[in-house]
Amino acid sequence: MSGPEGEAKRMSDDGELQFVLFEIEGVHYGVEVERVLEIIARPEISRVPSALDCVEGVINLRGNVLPVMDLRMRFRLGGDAAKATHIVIVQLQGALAGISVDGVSQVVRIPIASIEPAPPAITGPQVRYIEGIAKLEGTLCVLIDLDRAFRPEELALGAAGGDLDGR
Amino acid sequence: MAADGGWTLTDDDRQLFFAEAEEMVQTLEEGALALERGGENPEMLQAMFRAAHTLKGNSGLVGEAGIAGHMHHMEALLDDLREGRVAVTPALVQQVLSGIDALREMLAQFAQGVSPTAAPQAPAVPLAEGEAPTAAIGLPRYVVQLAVDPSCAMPAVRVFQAYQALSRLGLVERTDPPQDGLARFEGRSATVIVRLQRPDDVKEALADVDEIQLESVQAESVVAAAAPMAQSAEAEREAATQTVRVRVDLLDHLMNLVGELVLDRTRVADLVSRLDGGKDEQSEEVRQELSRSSLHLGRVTLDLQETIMKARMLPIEHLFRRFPRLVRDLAAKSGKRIALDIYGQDTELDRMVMDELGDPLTHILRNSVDHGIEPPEKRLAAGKTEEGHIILRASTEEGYVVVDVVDDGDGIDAEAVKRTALRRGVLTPEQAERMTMREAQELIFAPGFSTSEEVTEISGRGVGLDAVRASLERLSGVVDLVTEAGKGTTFRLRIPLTLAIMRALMVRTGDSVYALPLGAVRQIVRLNAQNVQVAHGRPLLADRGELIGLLSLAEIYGEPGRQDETFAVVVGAGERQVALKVGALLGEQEIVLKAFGDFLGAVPGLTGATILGNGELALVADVRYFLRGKEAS
Repeated sequence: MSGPEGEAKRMSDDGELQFVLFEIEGVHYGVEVERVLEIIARPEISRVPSALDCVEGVINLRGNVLPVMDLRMRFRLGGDAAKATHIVIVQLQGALAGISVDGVSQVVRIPIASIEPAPPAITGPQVRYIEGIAKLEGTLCVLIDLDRAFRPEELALGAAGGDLDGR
Repeated sequence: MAADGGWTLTDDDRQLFFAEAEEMVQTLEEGALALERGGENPEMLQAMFRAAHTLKGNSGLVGEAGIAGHMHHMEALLDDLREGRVAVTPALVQQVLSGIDALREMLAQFAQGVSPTAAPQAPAVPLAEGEAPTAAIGLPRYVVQLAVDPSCAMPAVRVFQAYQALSRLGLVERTDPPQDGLARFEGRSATVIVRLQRPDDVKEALADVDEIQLESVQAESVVAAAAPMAQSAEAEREAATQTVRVRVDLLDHLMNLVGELVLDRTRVADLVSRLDGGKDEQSEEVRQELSRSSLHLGRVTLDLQETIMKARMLPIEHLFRRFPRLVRDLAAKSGKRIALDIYGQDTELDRMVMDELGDPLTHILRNSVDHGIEPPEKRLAAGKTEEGHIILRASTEEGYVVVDVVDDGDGIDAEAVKRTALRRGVLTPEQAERMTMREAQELIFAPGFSTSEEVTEISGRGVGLDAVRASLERLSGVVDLVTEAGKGTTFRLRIPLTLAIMRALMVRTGDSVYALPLGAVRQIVRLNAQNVQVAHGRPLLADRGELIGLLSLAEIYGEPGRQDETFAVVVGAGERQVALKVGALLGEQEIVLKAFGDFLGAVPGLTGATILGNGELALVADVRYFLRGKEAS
């Protein structure tokens, strides 16, 4: 991995951030581009018994065993992970993990100025995992704070059935 | 620096020589002090050796044969140290330090223009009571040739006695046959390389050993100073290029890549088999050629895998070399006399495993010194030798490394253990009543148990042998105990050669494939109406009069598509075992264990996953998890 440290704090000159956009259940999400290692077609996923509910299973990525996370569970989107087509491989707490997505659209530059905090209409525990909302050509894009969304404490909360949603 | 006689040196030459010499002296002294603190490590010994070696060479170049000779002896001693041929003892450290003092003195004389040509005095170091004379810097090496009488019935015993006699006289550096392999020795001659003061003493020392004749005692020729030394420096540089350090994660990465290669190889082989050759001569030829290449690729890949595995291995000597000092110090502290014998230092073990093994082994050795070996008076009263013996022995056994720590101490008194356990609340009186002697002895591994009546400085407080068992379990290893009251105790550690690769029994249950570590598999039983029973609502497997708790693997892992479970695999460790119902047996296989990573955390009942030949994942069962359950018996 080429060190992105030199890349002037992941910010281009005119105050933009780069995001990889993908779609889950009709909603557009974005994660910062330097967190994304690659995007692969969804392989067979092996179920792991009694793992956390947001862990869909594990995959074999060139000899490494990686967990695949299901954002549907994390964001309580409903729907079925089986219709996901791709897996976005991201760096998560120093390790690699995959995120199941329905489709990958593109890599975009988003001016920092156009990123707004999550509107108060979005409630529930999920709001903590949102870094901001960006408007892109008429569609809204939810920018995910990966570290927050998959912090071990948060995962434990999810596993315990953490029922804060809707409040 | 060029000089023939040493007296045509320019001032620059001299300055350079002294500046470098000062650096070397520093390195040597820092190292010696670290040795004294017990902080020796291979790099440091290597640095010391190099310092001595360089200074020897430099001294030769400036024509200072006195210093060169002195350094030659120091170098030889440091070589012994770094190779682990001699143990680090306080007396030895003292000798190194005295040698450095002498060196300083000589350098000072040389600086004043006086040639300290007089051969350096062997520093007189008073040896501690009962301590074997260790190598003194300046004591020359002698080669002692021994002959065994043709009529001798037990050459091994006689040769051993001769070695003993010589080691009372000086420092035995090397023997042929080696002391380790003496048990089966049937030969009629032996060679000993020993450092000693007066070669004339040898004959006298051997006079007491029957059936052994002294053939000859010859001084090992001391290499002359300058010219040959430059050559040896050359040779050393050459040798140094033959090894490189490699980061373990790099090897892991290589291992993964090879795994990839194996998969591709399988795919190629599959494609070849689907190729419809034979339509015309040319395509048939291509098909056959491809088939041969694919086979060859397979062999090379396998070789590659094994070679990378080997690259991760180190001789266990790297771990063992710290123990002689440890045991010596502990023995001195507790006023006991203990000899530690180490065997099987060449046994190879995965680097990672070795790192993990250090603490538990240290703990067991402490335990043996503190609780095993009795004080001298007590040993004499029991008709034993005053000196206690601890044997540290490593060997290989079918994918496992076995490390034994054997002491000839007092053994573990099952009744005393029970009483302590009762007092500590580890055990209820009813439990104690029902307990077998073996079970009682095993109690010393129970959390919260410490056999010593009072807390001692050596074994310390809080950390018991339960920590040892826990460490071993982390390594997928086991620790067993054999003890006989009054005779001694043996701790036997069995650790997989490597954590990365293990042999496993592959089973299919439900929709998934699981790997059961073969080391834990005791037997496989076909289930039928007769051998499955239910008692107190719990299913049991009746096997040859034994009743074993029966679990369903599919149920434990929540497998959705559960089919008929045809077999039971009995797994166990130590005294506990449990039977696991499985669907189909897929055979035995070598698997590469992949942890789920920190991110997924520990998944109960699983140690990780492995990648099968077809790229599918199989889950690796954590047998210990089942054995902890109440079904285990």
